[in-house]
Amino acid sequence: MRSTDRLEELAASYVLGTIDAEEVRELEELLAADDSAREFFAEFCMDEILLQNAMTRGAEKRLELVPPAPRPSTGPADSGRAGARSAAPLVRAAALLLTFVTGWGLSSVFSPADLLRRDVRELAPVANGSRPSLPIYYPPAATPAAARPVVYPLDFDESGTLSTNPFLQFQPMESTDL
Amino acid sequence: MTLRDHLTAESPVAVLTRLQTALQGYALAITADHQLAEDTYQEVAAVVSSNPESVPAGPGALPWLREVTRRKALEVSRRARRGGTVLSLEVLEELGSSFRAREDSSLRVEALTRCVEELAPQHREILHGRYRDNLPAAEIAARAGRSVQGVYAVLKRVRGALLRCMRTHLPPAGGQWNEVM
Repeated sequence: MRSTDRLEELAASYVLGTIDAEEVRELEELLAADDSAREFFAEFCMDEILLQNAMTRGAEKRLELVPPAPRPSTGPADSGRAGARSAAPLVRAAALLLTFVTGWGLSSVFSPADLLRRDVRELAPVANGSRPSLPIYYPPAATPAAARPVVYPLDFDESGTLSTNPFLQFQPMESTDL
Repeated sequence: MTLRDHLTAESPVAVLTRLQTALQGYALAITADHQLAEDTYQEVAAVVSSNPESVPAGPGALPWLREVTRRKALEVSRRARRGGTVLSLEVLEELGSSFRAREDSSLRVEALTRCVEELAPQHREILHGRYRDNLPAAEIAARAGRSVQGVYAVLKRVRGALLRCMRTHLPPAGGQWNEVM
């Protein structure tokens, strides 16, 4: 086999990633030997780049509507880079899902409206062990007027005890008037 | 530098584009991996675009860009694989000056594109898997119903056929490259 043929063989193995240690030594010896071998190897590598460009350009010219096949996950024998690239969409999808689920979970626990209602209930007095008699204030914008609780005016009896007077027929006021 | 020189001077980005094949080819020689070679070229482009005034004008541009490419390719190789480069650093440094501008790169790409279209469909499919889709050999082999070794053998054979075909499509001006082959 001529030295240029052998050099081409070794160069092809080198760029394909199939070269073994013995062949690497042989290639290094050939490249160290003279300028023409180095020129040949340089041309070989540049042609590889051109070939890749030509393939890409050919693909562009055909204007393929079918997207290229998805990159498969690679086994341990292959480079990890391709595997990492192929896994990236899956990781992004998982991260998006996790963000959504976490956000939904947090919003259900720490909803601002919930917190507001809880604060109002806690502030209200507890009468006879029951839950508060005071109406709960809802923001007008968030609740229709018909659903808003009303507050009746208070009156004092003779003993000075605060109580509601059932005989006084005042028009109810909306809580927003307070 | 005269006003005329300024007006006719190539911009650093234009120089980078013109020398792409040489620089990316050198990166391929260092990294022995197409994807890493492309990454290297992108990093060199980032250096040039972030600091264009550092690129020497005229004939000094190629050696400067080659050196940046060498350093970036070594960095990329170290990041990608623990063993660093496949070839020794001395050999790779000596190789550098062999990577020069090719005036007929676009003609070669045109010729290669035509030659690829002339290939048998199953060979073209293997070539697409390798160069366009950057698939691992095992995947190409599975798709083509061949062994991995068979795929490598086809790739070597097809590559040789393509380069012979390209020579027939190139004008005689590409003689220097033909003599090398």
